[in-house]
Amino acid sequence: MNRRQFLRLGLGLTGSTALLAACGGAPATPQTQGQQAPTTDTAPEALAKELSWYNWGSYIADSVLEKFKAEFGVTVKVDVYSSNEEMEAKFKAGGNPGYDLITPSDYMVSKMIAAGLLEKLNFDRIPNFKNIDDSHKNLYFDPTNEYSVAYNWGCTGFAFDKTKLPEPITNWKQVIDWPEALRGKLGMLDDVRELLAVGLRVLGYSGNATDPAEINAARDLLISLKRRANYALTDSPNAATNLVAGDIFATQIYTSDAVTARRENPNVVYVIPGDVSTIWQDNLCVPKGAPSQYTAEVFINFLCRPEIAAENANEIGLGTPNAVALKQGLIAPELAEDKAVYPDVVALGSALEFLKKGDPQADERYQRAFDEIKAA
Amino acid sequence: MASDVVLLGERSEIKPRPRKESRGIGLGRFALVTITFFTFAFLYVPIAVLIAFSFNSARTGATWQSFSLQWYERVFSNTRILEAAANSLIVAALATVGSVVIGTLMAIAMERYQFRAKLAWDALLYLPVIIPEIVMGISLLIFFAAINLSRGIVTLVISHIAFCMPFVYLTMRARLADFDRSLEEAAQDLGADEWTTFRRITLPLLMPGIISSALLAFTLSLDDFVISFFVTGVGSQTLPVYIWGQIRRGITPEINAISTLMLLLSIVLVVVAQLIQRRQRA
Repeated sequence: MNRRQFLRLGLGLTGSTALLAACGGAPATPQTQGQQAPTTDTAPEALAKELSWYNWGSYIADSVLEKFKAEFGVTVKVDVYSSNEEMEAKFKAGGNPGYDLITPSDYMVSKMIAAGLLEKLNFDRIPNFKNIDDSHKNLYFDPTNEYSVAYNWGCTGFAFDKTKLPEPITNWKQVIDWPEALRGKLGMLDDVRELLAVGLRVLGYSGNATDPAEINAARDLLISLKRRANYALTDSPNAATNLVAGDIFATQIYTSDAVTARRENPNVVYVIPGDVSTIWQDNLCVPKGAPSQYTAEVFINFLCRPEIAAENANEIGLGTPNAVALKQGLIAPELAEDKAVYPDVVALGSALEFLKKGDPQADERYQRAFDEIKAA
Repeated sequence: MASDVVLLGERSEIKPRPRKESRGIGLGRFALVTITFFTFAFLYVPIAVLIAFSFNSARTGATWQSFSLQWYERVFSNTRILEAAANSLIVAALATVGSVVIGTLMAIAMERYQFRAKLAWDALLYLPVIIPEIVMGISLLIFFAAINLSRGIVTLVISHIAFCMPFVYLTMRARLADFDRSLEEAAQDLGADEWTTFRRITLPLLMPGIISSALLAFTLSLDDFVISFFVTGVGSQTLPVYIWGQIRRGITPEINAISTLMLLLSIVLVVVAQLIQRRQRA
C-alpha cells in the first residue's frame, strides 16, 4: 500500500468527508503493484469533483474541457508552465503541490520516471489507448509504455516566406549555406539543443552526439553561419511573429508556430527538411501523489476518443497521435493533408530524431558550445 | 489665487533681461521640452502599442490587420485568464489590507516608542526592500515546504504581505515624521480617550499616507512575478505567472486585452484615491 492509498484509507476511517470528496471518494481497494487484478475489484471508484492539470500554456481546447464537465461533472483546472524544467522544479521543490495530471515532453518523461516522480498508469481504465498509433507507443523514454499516453507531437522544421527566397528550402544544408545577400533575414531557435542539432546533422552526426569533437565542429559551423548570415536567435512564437511581419524571411520553427504563421500569411511555407529533423512528443502522465489518479485516467481516456482528440488537435494546430481520428477524417484538411504537420513517421524513419537530454556531462558540453556561439 | 499673483509678478521680472541670456533660456527650454517629450514617450509608447494591438484582429501582433473586439470577447470566454485575473485581484486586495495594517501600526510604534537597539530593528524592517526578489521567493518556498503548508492563495497572500509591508512602513514613517503630535495632545486634553484620539485624530491625519501606501502595495502585489512564481500552487496562478506560462506557445492578443482592462482598473483606482484625498483636503 502506498502513501496515497494509506492517506485515503485513513481519511475514510476518520470520516472527514470534505477532504474525502476532494480526494476522489471511496477508500481504494488495496492493489498490489503490477499485478493484473481480476475485474471484481475494479468496482467503479468515485470521480473527484475537480481535476488539476499542470499543462503547457494554450495546450487544450476549452470546448473539450466543457464537454468533459458536461459528461462527467468534473471541472478540469489548468495551471500553465512554459518549460519542462519549470514543471519538474515544481515537483522537486516541496513535492507534488496537488496536480493529478502533467504533460511532460519525451526526454522529461524518462527523467521523471528515473526520479520516481511518475505513477504507473492503469491501462485497464484507458481502453481508448488502442486509438493511439503504434508509432507513438513504447518510445525510448517509456520503452514498455507504462507511464505515459501520447498527447501531441510535432517536429522542429523550417518555415519561409516563398515570395522572398530565390528558391525553396528543402534541407538543412541549404540553411547552413544561407546566402550573404540575405544577411539578417534568417532566424534560428534560441534553444541549445535545437540549434546545435542543425550543425551536427549537416555534418552527418547525430543530434544527440556526445563526442566533444563533434559538438565543437557543429559549433564552428554555426559560428561561421552567424558571421555570414547574422541570424537572429529567438524562441519559436517570436520567430512566427517576425516571419509574418517580414522582419525575417525564413526561420527554424516548431510545427505549431509555423501553422500559426501560415494562418496569418499564406505565403509562409513550412517544411520538415529532408535531412534529419527533430521530432518531439508531449505526453499525459500522472505524477506521484496525485489526489485522484482514477479521475486523471478517466480524463486521459476521454482525450483519446477520436472526436475529442480531433477537436483538440484542430484548435491547437499540432499533430495528434490518434490514428482513428485521422483515419475517420476528423482532422481539418488544412492540417491532415500537410506533410509538415503529419509527416510520415514510418517512411521518414531515422530522418526524424528525438533530442535526448539529461546526461549532465553532455548537457554541459552543449551549453558551453551554445554560449560560445552566442558570444561569437 | 494668491500664488497666481506671485507667479505673474515673477514672470514680469524675468522679461527685461538682456537678449543673450534669453537665447540661453530658449535653448534650455528646448532641451527640457525634448527630454520631457522623450521621457513620456519612453514611458507610454509601449503601453499605447499594447492597447492598440489588443484591438488588432491578427494573432501574432506582427502586423496590423483590422480593428476587432474579438480578443476582448475571448478574454471573457476564457475561464483560465479570468481565474488568473481573479486570483491576482484577490491576492492583491488581501495583501494590501494586511500589509497596510501591519506596516502602519509598525511605523507608529517605531515612531513613538524608544527601546533598545531600535536602529537595528529599523534597519531590519528596511532590509526586505533591497533583498533580491529571487532570494525572498526561494526562502519563502523553502519555509512553506518546511512547515508543510501547501502552496496556494494562502501562501501567496502571506508572501505578498511580506514584501509589500516594508514599502508601507517606509511611506508611513515619512508621513509620521512631520506629524504634529500636539493635535493628539489637544484631543486628550479635551477628554478624548486613547482609542477616540486614534480614530478621530491620528487616523484621519494619516489617511493620505495610508491611501498612497495602499496603492503602492496593491500595485506591487498585482505585478509581482518572481515571488509568486515560487509560492503559487494548484489553481492559484496569478496573471503574471499565467502569462509567463503562455510564452512557449506564444502570447496572444488576449493578453493585451486583459492587460488593457487591468490598466483601466489601475487608472480608476488612482483617480478614486486622488478624489478622496482632494475632498479631504478641501
